[in-house]
Amino acid sequence: MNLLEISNLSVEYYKNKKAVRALKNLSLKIESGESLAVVGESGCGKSTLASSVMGLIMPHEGKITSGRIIFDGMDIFSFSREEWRALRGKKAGIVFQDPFSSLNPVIPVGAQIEDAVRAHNPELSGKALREKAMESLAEVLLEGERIYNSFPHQLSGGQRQRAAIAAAIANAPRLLIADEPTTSLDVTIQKEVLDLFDKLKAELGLTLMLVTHNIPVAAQRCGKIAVMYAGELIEYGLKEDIIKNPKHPYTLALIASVPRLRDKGAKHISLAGQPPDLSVNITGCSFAPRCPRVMDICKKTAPPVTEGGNYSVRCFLYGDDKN
Amino acid sequence: MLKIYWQRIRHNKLAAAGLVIITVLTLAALLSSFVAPYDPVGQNISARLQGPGAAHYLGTDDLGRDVFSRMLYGSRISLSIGIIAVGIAVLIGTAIGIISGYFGGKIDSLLMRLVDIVLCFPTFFLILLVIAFLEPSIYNVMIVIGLTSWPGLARLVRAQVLTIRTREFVQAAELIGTSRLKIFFIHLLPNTISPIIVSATLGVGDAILTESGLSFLGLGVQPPMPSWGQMLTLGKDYIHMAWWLSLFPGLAILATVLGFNLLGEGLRDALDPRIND
Amino acid sequence: MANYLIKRLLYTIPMLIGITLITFAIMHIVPGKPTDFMSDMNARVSADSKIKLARLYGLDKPWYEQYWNWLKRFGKLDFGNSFKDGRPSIKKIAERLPASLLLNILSLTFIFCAAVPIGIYSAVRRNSLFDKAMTVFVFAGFSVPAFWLALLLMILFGLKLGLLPISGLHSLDYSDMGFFSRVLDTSKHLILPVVISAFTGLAGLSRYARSSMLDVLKQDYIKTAYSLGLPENKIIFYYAAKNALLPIITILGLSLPALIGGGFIFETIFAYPGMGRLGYEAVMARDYPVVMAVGSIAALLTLLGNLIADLTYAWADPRIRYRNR
Repeated sequence: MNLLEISNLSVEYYKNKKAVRALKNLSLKIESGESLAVVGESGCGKSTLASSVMGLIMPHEGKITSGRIIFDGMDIFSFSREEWRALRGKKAGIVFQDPFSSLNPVIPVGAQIEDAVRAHNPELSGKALREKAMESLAEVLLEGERIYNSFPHQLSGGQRQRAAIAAAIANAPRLLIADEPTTSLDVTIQKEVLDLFDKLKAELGLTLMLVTHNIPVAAQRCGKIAVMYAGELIEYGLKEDIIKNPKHPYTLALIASVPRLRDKGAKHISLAGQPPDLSVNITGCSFAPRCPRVMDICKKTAPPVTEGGNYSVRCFLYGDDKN
Repeated sequence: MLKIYWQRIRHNKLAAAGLVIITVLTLAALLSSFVAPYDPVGQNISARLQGPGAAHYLGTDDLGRDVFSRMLYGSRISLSIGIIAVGIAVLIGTAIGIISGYFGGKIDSLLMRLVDIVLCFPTFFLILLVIAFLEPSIYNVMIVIGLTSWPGLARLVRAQVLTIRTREFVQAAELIGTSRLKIFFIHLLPNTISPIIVSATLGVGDAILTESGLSFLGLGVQPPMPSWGQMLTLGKDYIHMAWWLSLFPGLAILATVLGFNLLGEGLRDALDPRIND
Repeated sequence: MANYLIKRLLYTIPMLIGITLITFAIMHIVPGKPTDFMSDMNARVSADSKIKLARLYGLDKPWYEQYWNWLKRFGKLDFGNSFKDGRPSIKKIAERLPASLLLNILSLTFIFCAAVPIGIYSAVRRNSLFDKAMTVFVFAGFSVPAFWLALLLMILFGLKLGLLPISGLHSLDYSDMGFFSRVLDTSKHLILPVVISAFTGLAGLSRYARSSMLDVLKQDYIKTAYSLGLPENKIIFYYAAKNALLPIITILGLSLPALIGGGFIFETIFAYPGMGRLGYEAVMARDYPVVMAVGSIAALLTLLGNLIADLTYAWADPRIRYRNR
């Protein structure tokens, strides 16, 4: 069963009064209980995707221009303010990249987790709230008593990120979105935090959407991988298919850039150029200017999506006429 | 770049309103000798204390002088005091701010302590003190307001210089041995210009307000030169029988200072790089 | 916290020295020796007080000795006797200080209570009609000459409507009143001064609250709070406001000199028995010892106000309170 179904989602951001098309007609689904990695370079729209699901695109930042998101059978774009509130934190939680800025600096960590619990359980007493918050902290392997009364600046980066995770899972959500959760942490701590996600998945039956630019992490921790480029989904499939047999030239280049993942003998493919400016309309394939296997048609027409079972790719090389 | 700022100001209705007020005021000041229906100091005892009407739009005062004409000439006083006082404050504040921010260390802490100490004294008290012991005159008012209103600006400029001096172009200029004076004028000054413009605009309003207070107390502009604050002193004495003597000059001060403040705030938004991210 | 406390207290020492140096300089610079203008320009000052002044400041001694004397007197808050009535200046200030503090504390309270909600709502509904109306309103307060507004309101409420007394702090028959009548009487006298001084001082704090709130609302932790499903009211009035408003404590301290300084004309118009009016009258009468006393005490009060504000801030902000752990 699909926990999350995103169809034809388009999102615009405002930058210098210009609209930047951060997501273009993106469709994606996540099955209950699975773990999906969304990978791509920075600026490809993967964080926008995460924010859209949580309804966290602030009015001053941008807006959703079209599309639909079905979460657990509900059309979330039709939600009222209260329905959104009931979704956030209760059914879906999110962990952000920078634990230094994602926790409120002037409120003790324990109180922040407690507030998250209270928001969805107004009937609980103070004592019960504290117990639930403590359980959450224990779940993320933090010693409750000491952390509880600490302010964020008194904790290390790893502890902060754990505390942020504790707040996100305090109400046992079904979906946990982790938006670059380890990018701003030390390498040694990155592994601990990722191990923590594995543990939570196993113990709480979480569905995980891991947004990362790090292909090896995606391959190691997730069952499926979605590759994004310039606001579009370009390839999606089981981890084995994507890593062992990447089809889209961009995915190929991404994987080849990681020595550990590429086949022996295969050479490093370096991509020339930069991702396109998303404030101008692009005709044809947005990857065409950098693509080593570019064809004439790529510059004129947007490529079709070829789908089959648990796999899809957006490229002329694999269109119907080529098969 | 300038075009973007201009557009932002035009889209900001409040800032545009401020700009309109200031433009009208400037025109009034420049053209007062052509527009004014009467001599601002010409007395006409037979027409004293007349209410607003066709002959005298805003009435006459106790000596039969035309209030409208006096207010037109008064705008010259207000504007010139505002601009010159702020000019002095900008010169001092910018110099101290740049020196303090650029050299850092002991010079910086010495200058900033000085700023802190000056800020401990109520500005109006300092002004009152100096003016009271000097001959009251329009020039003294300009100079004293200028001499007492630089500390805030010095802080702003210093903060700005602190962020700029670590940037590559300044360090590159230092490496190739550009003289300090050149660095100040070519690199530091242009990059601190937006906070200076903003606080100068707000400062003009402040200076006009201070002048009106001093003139109201008889310590500012001396008769027969017409100043709005001084007109209010007279208005106070006749407030029961001639309300127009208090109302119009007061409104003129309010509108002018408000104009500078609204424009200043609009400029702050327009010149703020953060708005764009 | 202990580190900060020590640092902050040490910082007041150079400030104190600076204040005494500046007052000492004013004494000698404006305009030349105090004795000159006393005798030359002001008939009210007799030859007798010229001698008194020379003795008070020790003008025949070298400057460092004079400064040392000034420092000693400053320490004892002995600024000499008034030329007008021969009473110690500091006593005259002590009589006026409570009324000034009462007025300033009341108007600061009003400013705080109005500025914070205005700032928060303006930021939350940025560019709304409310935001724009409030911008004009607070700037109108900032731009209006306080003495002019005071005059107009005195005429309107005092003379035309007869609702409020227009001068002083008490009515003439104050001493015959019972406790409640006294409180009522004082409150009535305070309404106009407090309202005007609050209205004219509103802009600084409310604009600060607005821009600070705007910055905070863009922070990641606000997004986190939304992502956890916290009620919007809690996010705005607790999660955001607590961050945005902490620095206001310091701003309150910084706005002290403006309030004291704003009182000079304003207290005079209302014949309010405060320090501002005392200072103004002393300057006009060239009552030199009282002038120096008012200036020094105002600076000391500001220094103290800033110190209290900074310490309160350090205590209220956990990032300073629990540093280094």
